[in-house]
Amino acid sequence: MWKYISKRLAMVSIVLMGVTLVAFSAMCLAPGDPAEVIALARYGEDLSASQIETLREAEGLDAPVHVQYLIWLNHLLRLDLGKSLVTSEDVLAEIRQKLPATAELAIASLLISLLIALPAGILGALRKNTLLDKSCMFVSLVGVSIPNFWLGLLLIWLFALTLHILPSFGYGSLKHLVLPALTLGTSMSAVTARLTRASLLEVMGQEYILAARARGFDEHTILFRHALKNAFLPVVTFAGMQFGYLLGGAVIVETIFSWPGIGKLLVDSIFARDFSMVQGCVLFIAVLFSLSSLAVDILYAVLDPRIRYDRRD
Amino acid sequence: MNPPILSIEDLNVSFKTSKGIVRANEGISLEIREGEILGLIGETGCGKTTLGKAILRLLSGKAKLEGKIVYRDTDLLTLPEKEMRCFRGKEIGIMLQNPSACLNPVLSAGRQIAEIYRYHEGMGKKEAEKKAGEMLELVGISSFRGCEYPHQFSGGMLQRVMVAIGLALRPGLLIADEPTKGLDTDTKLQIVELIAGLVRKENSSMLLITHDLELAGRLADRIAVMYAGEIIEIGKAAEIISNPKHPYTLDLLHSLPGKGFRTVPGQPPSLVSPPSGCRYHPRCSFRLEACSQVHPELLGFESERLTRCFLSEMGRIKETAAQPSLNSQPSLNSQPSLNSQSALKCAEEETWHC
Repeated sequence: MWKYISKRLAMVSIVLMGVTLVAFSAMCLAPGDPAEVIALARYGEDLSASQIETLREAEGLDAPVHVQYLIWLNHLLRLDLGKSLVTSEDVLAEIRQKLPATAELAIASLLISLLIALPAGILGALRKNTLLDKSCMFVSLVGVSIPNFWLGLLLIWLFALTLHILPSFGYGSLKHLVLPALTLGTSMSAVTARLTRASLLEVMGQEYILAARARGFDEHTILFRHALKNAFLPVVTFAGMQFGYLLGGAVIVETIFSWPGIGKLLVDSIFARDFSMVQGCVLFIAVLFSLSSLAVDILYAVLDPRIRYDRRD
Repeated sequence: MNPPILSIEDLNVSFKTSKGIVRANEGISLEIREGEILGLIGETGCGKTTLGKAILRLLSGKAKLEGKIVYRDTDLLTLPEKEMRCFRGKEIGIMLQNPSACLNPVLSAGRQIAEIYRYHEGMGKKEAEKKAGEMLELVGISSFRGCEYPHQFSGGMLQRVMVAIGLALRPGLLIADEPTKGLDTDTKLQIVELIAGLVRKENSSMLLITHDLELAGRLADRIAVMYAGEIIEIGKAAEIISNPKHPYTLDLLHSLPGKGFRTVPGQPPSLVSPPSGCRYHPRCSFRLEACSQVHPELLGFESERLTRCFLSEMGRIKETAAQPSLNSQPSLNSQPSLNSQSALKCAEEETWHC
């Protein structure tokens, strides 16, 4: 088990190395001279050539690219993501400040998604090809097909504008959380429900389920003791990836509902041409995503003994 | 003669498929007696496994079962599903084919045995685990391996776990479906002797489903031979081996490595549209004209011995069989008493030979 985890950790660190490279080169590859970009973002108007040269030296942009990268990496290791080009705030502090809102939304959406998807998927598989199954799958097909932003707008129209029971945007109370979480949760649940159904159907067709039946167990015992643990393996992977994705900020939904999370921070920084903030956000999102997939891998090993034990043992 | 523990009367099993109705079992009648090991042999696809699963009603919902399967006075086919569950595992244990697929990959071997005790006998966790450990020891696995998972066991060990599961509740009847499939010769013998030993010790009965005639001959008291969904010959194991009366049984014997290693000619027929008359006639080297037209009945001319063949009905195969080596012991290393050459000669002398 520990060997497995350390292997995974090694893999994640390689991935993160790649992420830093990509995030750094994005800055270099961006159109225009970085110094000019910074100048434009910071002062909002064109500066003279000598002023830009001064800025270039001050920001260390005159050094060769690989030296710049190493310097940047060095800062990174000390958790220094630099300062915002626009507000001069510390990038990491800014992201940290936005993280709770994003995490809150991510957890709520994941819960809603699983609460809808698991029962629907399990029922669909157990009552395969019945009206119940078909209607569950139809609803989830609709759910997959509806784009987030449209569903968000629909929900705002229904609950905020027509029924006046929930606020249409903002952050702070549980009421504010409902609509964005519902938007994200329902659209995520569609795929999870289909995956759960397909996976459980496959498991129920396995020989070991028949063998369990041959031992005289009732269907309830078979489902809960034998089938679900196997069927949840792909579901855990998928839900974990979704959670990692959500932690990185649901860009569209956060923007629609003015949810002050990382997704909205990213969008705002892009519009403000706040390059260091964008870079910091991208890096942070990538790290969170890698860590959540690491968590999924570990959870997978807990569920599946075939992964937990190396062949050698 | 012991009373039957299980008697199957005129069992038909059919499946509706897109290609037509597959008649996997037709008119199966047989008895398994208390304390008896009955070998059920035949080629792949002849309906042996279907019969084994039909007894416990483990076939899919598409299967249509007709007839009677009586286990100690209870007709299993008329039981409601809930009552049927009390027979599965507890009265009749089954070892399905392919242990690596039949064991749940995410549950430890010990737990898969223990849960049987917890479910059927309402034991607590500790007690059930202790019983599971005992069961593992009984089949030759040290009890501390109970916490290991199926992928950590070898094929032979997995089969031992299956034996432990099948016999956990000391069922009156054990159905073992190809328990030696995919095992090497040594392991095969160990497993088979283990199962037979335990079954005999408990005075239970066993239905041993196998395509291995040699194995059935070694272990079983009686042997039933199936072909294309029908029983074509049934009798005492030693007699079936030493004196086969159905040409198919004879061909099966000849396919054994020590007996010529000749494969049975042709392919097993489709169960959707089986051949007319005797189902074996297209592959039979003794066939008469009548064989392709009239379906022979399963008839007996001696006690305990039934055959579905016109030749044996006319005493033909019996006569030819009597010539070469009737006095030979029913040992597997001797030549089969009926060799096809002499039987063929006999069939050629027949006036209505086709």
